[in-house]
Amino acid sequence: MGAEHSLYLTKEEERILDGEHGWASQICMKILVKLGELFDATKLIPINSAHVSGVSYKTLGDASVEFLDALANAGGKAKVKATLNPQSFDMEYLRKRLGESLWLKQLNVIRHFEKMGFQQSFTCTPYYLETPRQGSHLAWAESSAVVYANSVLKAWTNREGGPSALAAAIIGKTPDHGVHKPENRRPTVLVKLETRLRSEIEFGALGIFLGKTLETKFQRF
Amino acid sequence: MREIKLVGRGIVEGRCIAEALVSAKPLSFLGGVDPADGKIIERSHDLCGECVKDKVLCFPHGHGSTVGSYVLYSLAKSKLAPKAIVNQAADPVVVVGAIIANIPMVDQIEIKQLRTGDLLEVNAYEGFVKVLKRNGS
Repeated sequence: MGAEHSLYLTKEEERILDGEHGWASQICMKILVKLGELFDATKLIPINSAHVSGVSYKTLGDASVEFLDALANAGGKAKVKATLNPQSFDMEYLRKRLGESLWLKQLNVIRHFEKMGFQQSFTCTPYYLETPRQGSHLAWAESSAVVYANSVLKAWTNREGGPSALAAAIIGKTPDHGVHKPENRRPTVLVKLETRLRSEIEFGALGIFLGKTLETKFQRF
Repeated sequence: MREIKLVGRGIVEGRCIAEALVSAKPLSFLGGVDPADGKIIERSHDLCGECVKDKVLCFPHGHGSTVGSYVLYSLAKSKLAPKAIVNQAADPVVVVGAIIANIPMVDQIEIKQLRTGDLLEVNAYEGFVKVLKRNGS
Protein backbone atom coordinates (compact mmCIF):
# COMPACT_ATOMS: atom_id res chain seq x y z
CA MET A 1 0.00 0.00 0.00
CA GLY A 2 1.42 3.42 0.85
CA ALA A 3 2.57 5.42 -2.16
CA GLU A 4 2.09 2.68 -4.74
CA HIS A 5 -1.61 2.00 -4.18
CA SER A 6 -3.49 0.28 -6.99
CA LEU A 7 -6.21 2.87 -6.51
CA TYR A 8 -5.89 5.46 -9.27
CA LEU A 9 -6.16 9.05 -8.06
CA THR A 10 -6.51 12.17 -10.20
CA LYS A 11 -3.99 14.99 -9.74
CA GLU A 12 -6.60 16.92 -7.75
CA GLU A 13 -7.31 13.94 -5.49
CA GLU A 14 -3.54 13.51 -4.94
CA ARG A 15 -3.29 17.17 -3.92
CA ILE A 16 -6.12 16.76 -1.41
CA LEU A 17 -4.41 13.63 -0.01
CA ASP A 18 -1.15 15.58 0.32
CA GLY A 19 -2.94 18.17 2.47
CA GLU A 20 -2.97 21.08 0.02
CA HIS A 21 -6.64 21.72 0.78
CA GLY A 22 -6.24 21.52 4.56
CA TRP A 23 -6.53 18.82 7.23
CA ALA A 24 -10.29 18.24 7.01
CA SER A 25 -10.23 17.28 3.32
CA GLN A 26 -6.96 15.40 3.77
CA ILE A 27 -8.23 13.14 6.55
CA CYS A 28 -11.49 12.49 4.67
CA MET A 29 -9.60 11.66 1.47
CA LYS A 30 -7.31 9.36 3.46
CA ILE A 31 -10.36 7.50 4.81
CA LEU A 32 -11.78 7.01 1.29
CA VAL A 33 -8.43 5.97 -0.20
CA LYS A 34 -7.61 3.46 2.55
CA LEU A 35 -11.10 1.95 2.44
CA GLY A 36 -10.86 1.84 -1.34
CA GLU A 37 -7.57 -0.05 -1.09
CA LEU A 38 -9.05 -2.41 1.48
CA PHE A 39 -11.89 -3.32 -0.89
CA ASP A 40 -9.75 -3.34 -4.07
CA ALA A 41 -11.39 -0.27 -5.62
CA THR A 42 -9.52 1.15 -8.61
CA LYS A 43 -10.81 4.73 -8.45
CA LEU A 44 -13.08 7.17 -6.65
CA ILE A 45 -16.43 8.06 -8.23
CA PRO A 46 -18.60 11.16 -7.72
CA ILE A 47 -21.73 10.73 -5.62
CA ASN A 48 -25.06 12.57 -5.80
CA SER A 49 -25.71 12.57 -2.08
CA ALA A 50 -24.50 11.32 1.28
CA HIS A 51 -26.54 10.27 4.29
CA VAL A 52 -24.73 10.19 7.61
CA SER A 53 -25.54 8.14 10.70
CA GLY A 54 -24.06 8.85 14.12
CA VAL A 55 -25.94 12.03 14.96
CA SER A 56 -27.19 11.26 18.47
CA TYR A 57 -24.94 12.38 21.27
CA LYS A 58 -26.16 9.28 23.09
CA THR A 59 -24.53 6.95 20.54
CA LEU A 60 -21.64 9.22 19.56
CA GLY A 61 -20.28 10.04 23.01
CA ASP A 62 -17.65 12.70 23.63
CA ALA A 63 -15.03 10.90 21.52
CA SER A 64 -16.89 11.32 18.25
CA VAL A 65 -17.96 14.87 19.03
CA GLU A 66 -14.29 15.80 19.42
CA PHE A 67 -13.65 14.54 15.90
CA LEU A 68 -16.67 16.37 14.45
CA ASP A 69 -15.52 19.51 16.24
CA ALA A 70 -12.00 19.22 14.77
CA LEU A 71 -13.39 18.56 11.29
CA ALA A 72 -15.83 21.50 11.40
CA ASN A 73 -13.19 23.88 12.78
CA ALA A 74 -10.69 22.81 10.13
CA GLY A 75 -13.15 23.98 7.48
CA GLY A 76 -14.76 20.64 6.53
CA LYS A 77 -17.74 21.31 4.23
CA ALA A 78 -20.10 18.88 2.52
CA LYS A 79 -19.50 18.93 -1.26
CA VAL A 80 -22.79 17.21 -2.11
CA LYS A 81 -26.31 17.13 -0.70
CA ALA A 82 -25.82 15.59 2.72
CA THR A 83 -28.56 14.54 5.11
CA LEU A 84 -28.51 13.42 8.74
CA ASN A 85 -30.01 10.46 10.58
CA PRO A 86 -32.28 11.22 13.56
CA GLN A 87 -30.92 12.54 16.82
CA SER A 88 -31.99 10.51 19.82
CA PHE A 89 -34.58 12.92 21.17
CA ASP A 90 -36.81 15.85 20.43
CA MET A 91 -34.81 18.92 21.39
CA GLU A 92 -37.66 20.77 23.10
CA TYR A 93 -38.75 17.71 25.07
CA LEU A 94 -35.20 16.97 26.12
CA ARG A 95 -34.56 20.46 27.38
CA LYS A 96 -37.58 20.35 29.65
CA ARG A 97 -37.29 16.76 30.81
CA LEU A 98 -33.66 15.73 30.76
CA GLY A 99 -31.86 18.88 31.76
CA GLU A 100 -29.61 21.48 30.23
CA SER A 101 -26.30 19.60 30.08
CA LEU A 102 -27.41 16.74 27.79
CA TRP A 103 -29.40 19.20 25.67
CA LEU A 104 -26.32 21.37 25.17
CA LYS A 105 -24.22 18.35 24.21
CA GLN A 106 -26.71 17.32 21.52
CA LEU A 107 -26.98 20.93 20.33
CA ASN A 108 -23.20 20.97 20.00
CA VAL A 109 -23.30 17.93 17.68
CA ILE A 110 -25.93 19.60 15.50
CA ARG A 111 -23.92 22.84 15.33
CA HIS A 112 -20.85 20.99 14.04
CA PHE A 113 -22.91 19.34 11.30
CA GLU A 114 -24.63 22.64 10.47
CA LYS A 115 -21.25 24.36 10.15
CA MET A 116 -20.22 21.66 7.67
CA GLY A 117 -23.33 22.29 5.56
CA PHE A 118 -25.38 19.21 6.42
CA GLN A 119 -29.16 19.45 6.08
CA GLN A 120 -30.88 19.07 9.41
CA SER A 121 -33.10 16.32 8.07
CA PHE A 122 -33.05 14.02 11.14
CA THR A 123 -34.60 11.12 9.28
CA CYS A 124 -33.90 7.45 8.49
CA THR A 125 -35.81 7.92 5.23
CA PRO A 126 -33.93 10.63 3.28
CA TYR A 127 -35.52 9.30 0.05
CA TYR A 128 -38.82 10.90 1.10
CA LEU A 129 -37.18 14.34 1.10
CA GLU A 130 -35.72 13.85 -2.36
CA THR A 131 -35.85 10.62 -4.34
CA PRO A 132 -32.42 9.71 -5.75
CA ARG A 133 -32.38 9.14 -9.51
CA GLN A 134 -32.26 5.58 -10.79
CA GLY A 135 -28.64 4.58 -11.38
CA SER A 136 -27.18 7.45 -9.35
CA HIS A 137 -24.28 6.73 -7.00
CA LEU A 138 -24.75 7.55 -3.31
CA ALA A 139 -22.85 7.09 -0.05
CA TRP A 140 -25.48 6.32 2.52
CA ALA A 141 -25.20 4.98 6.03
CA GLU A 142 -28.40 3.77 7.75
CA SER A 143 -28.92 0.23 6.54
CA SER A 144 -32.71 0.43 6.04
CA ALA A 145 -32.27 3.37 3.66
CA VAL A 146 -29.46 1.52 1.87
CA VAL A 147 -31.70 -1.46 1.18
CA TYR A 148 -34.55 0.78 0.00
CA ALA A 149 -32.27 2.83 -2.27
CA ASN A 150 -30.73 -0.23 -3.94
CA SER A 151 -33.78 -2.49 -4.16
CA VAL A 152 -36.71 -0.13 -4.68
CA LEU A 153 -35.24 3.08 -6.12
CA LYS A 154 -32.47 1.38 -8.12
CA ALA A 155 -29.93 3.91 -6.91
CA TRP A 156 -26.49 2.52 -6.09
CA THR A 157 -24.94 2.67 -2.63
CA ASN A 158 -22.84 0.45 -0.42
CA ARG A 159 -23.79 0.15 3.22
CA GLU A 160 -21.56 2.90 4.58
CA GLY A 161 -20.59 3.42 8.20
CA GLY A 162 -21.06 6.79 9.92
CA PRO A 163 -17.45 7.97 9.42
CA SER A 164 -17.13 6.75 5.81
CA ALA A 165 -20.40 8.47 4.79
CA LEU A 166 -19.13 11.64 6.48
CA ALA A 167 -15.84 11.46 4.56
CA ALA A 168 -17.73 10.83 1.30
CA ALA A 169 -19.95 13.87 1.96
CA ILE A 170 -16.94 16.15 2.43
CA ILE A 171 -15.03 14.85 -0.62
CA GLY A 172 -18.17 14.30 -2.73
CA LYS A 173 -16.89 10.89 -3.83
CA THR A 174 -16.76 7.26 -2.77
CA PRO A 175 -14.47 4.34 -3.68
CA ASP A 176 -15.76 2.35 -6.65
CA HIS A 177 -16.38 -1.10 -5.17
CA GLY A 178 -19.19 -3.38 -4.01
CA VAL A 179 -22.60 -2.55 -5.50
CA HIS A 180 -21.25 0.54 -7.29
CA LYS A 181 -20.06 -1.94 -9.92
CA PRO A 182 -22.67 -3.41 -12.29
CA GLU A 183 -21.11 -6.89 -12.19
CA ASN A 184 -21.64 -7.02 -8.42
CA ARG A 185 -25.34 -6.20 -8.70
CA ARG A 186 -26.32 -9.28 -10.69
CA PRO A 187 -28.54 -11.60 -8.66
CA THR A 188 -27.11 -15.08 -8.13
CA VAL A 189 -30.14 -16.63 -6.45
CA LEU A 190 -33.80 -16.57 -7.49
CA VAL A 191 -36.24 -16.77 -4.58
CA LYS A 192 -39.75 -18.04 -5.37
CA LEU A 193 -42.38 -17.51 -2.70
CA GLU A 194 -45.24 -19.98 -2.89
CA THR A 195 -47.34 -18.19 -0.35
CA ARG A 196 -48.50 -14.61 0.15
CA LEU A 197 -47.01 -12.85 3.14
CA ARG A 198 -49.66 -11.22 5.29
CA SER A 199 -47.89 -8.87 7.65
CA GLU A 200 -44.73 -6.87 8.23
CA ILE A 201 -43.70 -9.46 10.82
CA GLU A 202 -43.80 -12.21 8.18
CA PHE A 203 -41.71 -10.08 5.79
CA GLY A 204 -39.25 -9.47 8.63
CA ALA A 205 -39.07 -13.18 9.46
CA LEU A 206 -38.45 -14.04 5.78
CA GLY A 207 -35.66 -11.44 5.73
CA ILE A 208 -33.96 -12.99 8.76
CA PHE A 209 -34.30 -16.50 7.30
CA LEU A 210 -32.98 -15.56 3.85
CA GLY A 211 -30.11 -13.56 5.32
CA LYS A 212 -29.01 -16.57 7.39
CA THR A 213 -29.51 -19.05 4.57
CA LEU A 214 -28.07 -17.13 1.63
CA GLU A 215 -25.59 -14.92 3.52
CA THR A 216 -24.10 -12.37 1.12
CA LYS A 217 -25.55 -13.81 -2.10
CA PHE A 218 -27.62 -11.41 -4.16
CA GLN A 219 -31.27 -12.31 -4.30
CA ARG A 220 -34.01 -11.63 -6.76
CA PHE A 221 -37.70 -12.20 -6.02
CA MET B 1 16.06 -16.71 20.22
CA ARG B 2 15.69 -16.79 16.45
CA GLU B 3 14.04 -13.61 15.26
CA ILE B 4 10.52 -14.15 13.96
CA LYS B 5 9.36 -11.88 11.16
CA LEU B 6 5.72 -11.98 10.09
CA VAL B 7 4.95 -10.30 6.80
CA GLY B 8 1.54 -8.73 6.25
CA ARG B 9 0.16 -5.55 4.74
CA GLY B 10 0.74 -2.00 5.96
CA ILE B 11 -2.53 -0.10 6.30
CA VAL B 12 -1.70 3.09 8.20
CA GLU B 13 1.92 4.21 7.95
CA GLY B 14 4.21 4.32 10.96
CA ARG B 15 6.69 2.30 12.95
CA CYS B 16 7.18 1.46 16.62
CA ILE B 17 8.63 -0.94 19.16
CA ALA B 18 6.33 -1.87 22.04
CA GLU B 19 4.90 -4.69 24.10
CA ALA B 20 2.11 -6.84 22.65
CA LEU B 21 -1.39 -7.17 24.07
CA VAL B 22 -2.90 -10.12 22.23
CA SER B 23 -6.39 -11.57 21.95
CA ALA B 24 -7.86 -14.28 19.76
CA LYS B 25 -11.24 -12.54 20.00
CA PRO B 26 -12.64 -9.73 17.82
CA LEU B 27 -12.82 -6.38 19.60
CA SER B 28 -15.50 -3.69 19.56
CA PHE B 29 -14.25 -0.22 20.42
CA LEU B 30 -17.69 1.27 21.02
CA GLY B 31 -18.75 -0.12 24.38
CA GLY B 32 -15.69 -2.40 24.44
CA VAL B 33 -12.98 0.10 25.34
CA ASP B 34 -13.44 2.94 27.84
CA PRO B 35 -12.25 6.18 26.20
CA ALA B 36 -11.70 7.67 29.69
CA ASP B 37 -8.93 5.28 30.78
CA GLY B 38 -8.13 3.04 27.80
CA LYS B 39 -9.26 -0.14 29.57
CA ILE B 40 -11.09 -2.97 27.81
CA ILE B 41 -14.52 -3.21 29.40
CA GLU B 42 -16.28 -5.81 27.24
CA ARG B 43 -17.21 -8.30 29.97
CA SER B 44 -16.94 -11.45 27.89
CA HIS B 45 -13.61 -10.42 26.38
CA ASP B 46 -10.44 -12.26 27.40
CA LEU B 47 -8.62 -8.91 27.69
CA CYS B 48 -11.30 -7.37 29.94
CA GLY B 49 -9.59 -5.07 32.46
CA GLU B 50 -6.40 -4.66 30.39
CA CYS B 51 -5.29 -1.18 29.27
CA VAL B 52 -4.49 -0.61 25.57
CA LYS B 53 -2.25 2.44 26.20
CA ASP B 54 1.15 2.23 24.49
CA LYS B 55 0.66 -1.47 23.60
CA VAL B 56 0.77 -3.17 20.22
CA LEU B 57 -2.87 -4.22 20.23
CA CYS B 58 -3.22 -7.53 18.35
CA PHE B 59 -6.63 -9.05 17.60
CA PRO B 60 -8.22 -10.80 14.61
CA HIS B 61 -10.52 -7.94 13.52
CA GLY B 62 -12.98 -5.40 14.84
CA HIS B 63 -16.71 -5.78 15.25
CA GLY B 64 -19.62 -3.63 16.35
CA SER B 65 -20.68 -0.06 15.61
CA THR B 66 -18.90 2.18 13.11
CA VAL B 67 -18.91 4.84 15.85
CA GLY B 68 -16.11 2.70 17.33
CA SER B 69 -13.69 4.46 14.95
CA TYR B 70 -14.15 7.67 16.92
CA VAL B 71 -13.20 5.92 20.18
CA LEU B 72 -9.69 5.39 18.79
CA TYR B 73 -9.54 9.10 17.95
CA SER B 74 -10.53 10.00 21.50
CA LEU B 75 -7.97 7.59 23.00
CA ALA B 76 -5.26 9.19 20.86
CA LYS B 77 -6.29 12.71 21.95
CA SER B 78 -6.00 11.60 25.61
CA LYS B 79 -2.69 9.80 24.97
CA LEU B 80 -4.31 6.46 25.84
CA ALA B 81 -4.11 4.93 22.37
CA PRO B 82 -2.22 1.77 21.47
CA LYS B 83 1.19 2.35 19.83
CA ALA B 84 0.15 0.14 16.92
CA ILE B 85 -2.65 -2.17 15.80
CA VAL B 86 -2.06 -5.62 14.31
CA ASN B 87 -5.01 -7.48 12.80
CA GLN B 88 -5.57 -10.73 10.99
CA ALA B 89 -8.06 -9.11 8.56
CA ALA B 90 -8.62 -5.36 8.75
CA ASP B 91 -12.22 -4.17 8.79
CA PRO B 92 -13.52 -0.65 8.02
CA VAL B 93 -14.26 0.33 11.63
CA VAL B 94 -10.71 -0.24 12.89
CA VAL B 95 -9.09 1.07 9.68
CA VAL B 96 -10.98 4.38 9.85
CA GLY B 97 -10.21 4.62 13.57
CA ALA B 98 -6.48 4.06 12.98
CA ILE B 99 -6.45 6.68 10.20
CA ILE B 100 -8.11 9.45 12.18
CA ALA B 101 -6.13 8.59 15.32
CA ASN B 102 -2.90 8.21 13.31
CA ILE B 103 -2.04 4.79 14.75
CA PRO B 104 0.29 2.59 12.66
CA MET B 105 -1.61 -0.50 11.52
CA VAL B 106 -0.68 -3.78 9.84
CA ASP B 107 -2.99 -6.61 8.85
CA GLN B 108 -2.77 -10.10 7.30
CA ILE B 109 -0.71 -11.26 10.31
CA GLU B 110 -1.27 -14.66 11.96
CA ILE B 111 -2.29 -13.47 15.45
CA LYS B 112 -1.69 -16.95 16.93
CA GLN B 113 2.06 -16.41 16.43
CA LEU B 114 2.00 -13.53 18.93
CA ARG B 115 1.72 -13.60 22.72
CA THR B 116 0.87 -10.95 25.28
CA GLY B 117 4.09 -9.53 26.69
CA ASP B 118 6.20 -10.18 23.56
CA LEU B 119 8.34 -7.22 22.52
CA LEU B 120 7.32 -6.38 18.95
CA GLU B 121 8.62 -4.18 16.22
CA VAL B 122 5.80 -3.03 13.96
CA ASN B 123 6.74 -1.53 10.61
CA ALA B 124 3.61 -0.39 8.83
CA TYR B 125 5.58 1.28 6.00
CA GLU B 126 6.78 -2.11 4.85
CA GLY B 127 3.98 -4.16 6.42
CA PHE B 128 5.73 -6.51 8.83
CA VAL B 129 5.83 -7.43 12.52
CA LYS B 130 9.01 -8.73 14.19
CA VAL B 131 9.08 -10.53 17.52
CA LEU B 132 12.19 -9.04 19.16
CA LYS B 133 11.81 -10.80 22.51
CA ARG B 134 9.42 -13.51 23.63
CA ASN B 135 7.51 -12.98 26.85
CA GLY B 136 9.49 -14.68 29.63
CA SER B 137 12.54 -15.53 27.53
